Amino acid sequence: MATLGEFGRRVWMLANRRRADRELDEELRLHQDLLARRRADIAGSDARKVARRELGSPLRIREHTHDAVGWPAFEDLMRDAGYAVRSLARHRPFAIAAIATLALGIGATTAIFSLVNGIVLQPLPFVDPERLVQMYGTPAVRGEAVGGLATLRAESTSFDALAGYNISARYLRSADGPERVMTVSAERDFFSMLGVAPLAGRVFRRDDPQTVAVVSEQFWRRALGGQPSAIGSTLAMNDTPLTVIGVMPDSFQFPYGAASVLHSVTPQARTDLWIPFDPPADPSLRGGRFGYVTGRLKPGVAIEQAESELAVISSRMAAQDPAGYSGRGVRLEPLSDAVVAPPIRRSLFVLFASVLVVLALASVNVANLSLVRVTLRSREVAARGALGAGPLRLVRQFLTESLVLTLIGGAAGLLVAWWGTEWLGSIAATQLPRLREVGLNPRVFAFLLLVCSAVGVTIGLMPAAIARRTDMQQILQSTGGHATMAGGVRRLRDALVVGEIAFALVLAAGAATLVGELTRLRSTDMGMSPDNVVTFHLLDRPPPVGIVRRGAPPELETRPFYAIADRVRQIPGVRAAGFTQVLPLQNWGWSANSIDFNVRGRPPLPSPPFTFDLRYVTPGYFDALGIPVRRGRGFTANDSRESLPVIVINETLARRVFQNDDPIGQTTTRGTIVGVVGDIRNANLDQETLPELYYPIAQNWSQLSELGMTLVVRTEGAPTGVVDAVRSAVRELNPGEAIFDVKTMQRIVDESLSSFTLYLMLMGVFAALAIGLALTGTYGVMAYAATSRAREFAVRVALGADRSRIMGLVLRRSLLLTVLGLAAGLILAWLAAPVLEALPIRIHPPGPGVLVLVALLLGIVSMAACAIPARRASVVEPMAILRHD
Amino acid sequence: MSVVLRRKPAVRLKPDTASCHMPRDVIPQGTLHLLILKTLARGGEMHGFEIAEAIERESEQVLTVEEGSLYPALQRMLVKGWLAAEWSTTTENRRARYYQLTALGRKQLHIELAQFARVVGAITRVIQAT
Repeated sequence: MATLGEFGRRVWMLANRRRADRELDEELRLHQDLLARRRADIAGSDARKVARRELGSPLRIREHTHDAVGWPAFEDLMRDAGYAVRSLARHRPFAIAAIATLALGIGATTAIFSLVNGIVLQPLPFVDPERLVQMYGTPAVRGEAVGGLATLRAESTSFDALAGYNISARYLRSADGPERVMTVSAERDFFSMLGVAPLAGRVFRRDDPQTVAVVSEQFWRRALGGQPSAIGSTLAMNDTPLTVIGVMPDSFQFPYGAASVLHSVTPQARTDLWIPFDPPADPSLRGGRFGYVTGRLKPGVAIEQAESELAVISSRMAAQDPAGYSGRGVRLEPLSDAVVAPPIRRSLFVLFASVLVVLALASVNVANLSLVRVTLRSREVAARGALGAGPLRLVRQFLTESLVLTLIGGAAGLLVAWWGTEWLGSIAATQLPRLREVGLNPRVFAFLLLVCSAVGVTIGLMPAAIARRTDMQQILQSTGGHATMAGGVRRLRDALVVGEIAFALVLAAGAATLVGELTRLRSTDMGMSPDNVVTFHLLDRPPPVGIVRRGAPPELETRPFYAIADRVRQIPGVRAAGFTQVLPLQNWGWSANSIDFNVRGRPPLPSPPFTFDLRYVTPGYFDALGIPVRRGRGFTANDSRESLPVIVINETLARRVFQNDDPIGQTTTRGTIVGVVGDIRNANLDQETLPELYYPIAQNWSQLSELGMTLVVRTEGAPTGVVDAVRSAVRELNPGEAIFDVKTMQRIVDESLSSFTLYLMLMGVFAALAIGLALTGTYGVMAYAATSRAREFAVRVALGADRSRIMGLVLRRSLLLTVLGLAAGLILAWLAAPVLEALPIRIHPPGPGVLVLVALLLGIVSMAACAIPARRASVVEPMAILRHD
Repeated sequence: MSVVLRRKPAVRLKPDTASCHMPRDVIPQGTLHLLILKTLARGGEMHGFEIAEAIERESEQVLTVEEGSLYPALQRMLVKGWLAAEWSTTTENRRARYYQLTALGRKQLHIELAQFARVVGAITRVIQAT
């Protein structure tokens, strides 16, 4: 106990009160006995009684001792808290309503805060994350790959490390057929640059061959049994076997981008393997071209400084190798911005602001309920005041009561937050980076406590302020069972109703705007028809054993796809079938730029260069997706390796390159144009069509990726009917072929809207909560107002007033408050409209039509809520009420 | 709600009792700590009754420490870390809590001594001024 310090000793005393009391009693007994004996020497036999009288009550001494060493304030607090709990237990309906409301508000706020905290506020989980930067190649073609990394690294002095990496899919052999694993091929500095220690084993060393792998914790548990002995074991990959050397902890998910790059082709947004990688020596690109490059700046080097140094190196490279490097460069971005793009950050803050509105409404509702209680308890309060409780003591008691209430609400809110965080994690898995770092950690708990105390103090001070102003004399003398509300309370409650309706309107308008946008996007003309289309993702490797091998002539490797498409087309109910490497709306894939796109006999395309999408398809593709051929023809089986290289372009590319000329028959650096197809929404539903160029896969096989091909099948009726037939057709022709994702095209369209639906869903939930809270709040206030005027109404009715007049009395005030609230809400919504532009999705600000519609609806519902108490007031039996008093 | 009356424990003049044999004086406000510290500094380990007796003895029966003040004061000083306490047995084999000065308590004794000297000096100057 001696080492505890004063604070610790006090806590110890408090915690061991019973023991301390016992010890003190023993001490006092000893004292008493010794004193008695001494007195006995002097005064004889009656001494013991004298001693006791002198000593006074042992209880008194004990109490004084407590006061001396304990915390009187703390003990008062406990007493107040105990009283508050008992009082809440007595008023169960109030307690349940208040706690449920607070739990919702606090829980939702905490859940969103845990998201904001994990994604935005916490630094990236690497050593000195502020020195990490992401490097992008310029000019920005999609993907922004960086060329010449070896030279940049050799000549730059700004970096401690620069590591390039690529993301790809590889295939693990298993008993159930090949399993797709997401692989990051990284230079060997990758892990040491980030400075994250492995969970087990080790990370790359300089001298590691390309046949080792570091695996993710999840992969280790799922595929390797989670045993330490997995280190050193061999992974049976389809191409090269890999030796496991280490396991990264689950929190390590770098590069975060892997999820968003790959989520279009896989539901698994995660990285499974990291393998060391040496870029192929390619003199034209000056050593090292990577899809992604992350670097660590030397301490004290500013990002601009590094960028200008890199610009000098780039221009020197361009001078030495104009063909390979002309016009190119790199730019840097802080890694934190690269991982969590500013629009995502802003959108999280918008969500946070929205949920704070919900919290405010919840608090207002509870404050409202407490005000009702204060009015009902005014006699009790007055009695206490009369018995000598000072105003501060009363304030403290109200505060304690509201804090007890909010802490219970917060504890329940923790459950809501826990569940909400899980739910957010599941619906936002592919939209938000760093979700694995989101959780209920100490900072979130601290936030929860802060919110609880802030809310508690706010809703505690309100009744306290009212109670202080209450005239005790008057209340104690009044006889009625219902004390009437003081003018101040009524005005405050009216203001709360107005505020509630206003804020509910803002959130409702936000949600309505998103719904409007979603409807608009859904009705966009996509240029294709996604109905009755089902897609299958097929792994093109391994080819059937013994038939084709890697490196075989392309016609042998591509022939199975043509055969599968032909076979599937013969299935009853199938109208068309064809392959593509990436479906529209998946927003990733191959692209090229117009620098090296030239048409024979025409001048080079004017600067600046533009980007166009490259798609590799088989003949049935256009029919299967319903993409119309505007001019010329689509591909046929005759467009083979031996025949003339041909391409098909979309209308946008045709307009861009040929304006009004006929592109059919023109020869370009990428093949002869044989057809022009209609524009489709290829990037996303809201973005204008990009220029697009199609190749037949038979002529461009080498461009295809390890990610496999997607079979698109158009059917007569419901597309799900043919899935089994397609599966067996594929298996029949090519037993080694693995089918991964079977999705209808409609689902792919939905998924392309998923970031939109994510925000819509959250805003919708918040708006629903806000409206619900505003309505119950309004109802509560009106019902209470009507009840407290019951006697007045009864007198009016008894004196002959029309019942509809009574109803009018109540409704008139409701209408006034509702209209005021709606007006304030419209102004707020108008002020808040720019906030919608912060979302990472494009949103048109709400039109006045939407706002008025929402306001009308909210007004009607609010009046309906008020009509219930109004009607109840009008049907009172006057004599019943008057006799009751 | 309970309104709790609370008064700071003070050392008061012991009321006259049947066994009264000498006039007693108030221990001046705030000096009880000093007296306890000094007593323990001189006497080493003592239990509560011994402390009270020592103070009475040293003051030649002028000062009396009321138990109602002594024990709260001891507890307070324990919490402050000036004293350490240990349960032990008296010569008559009864359990008693023995108090002892800590290093911190020794330091506190010097502080309180200096303070007391200052106050007494000042009061003396005031009342002897002509």
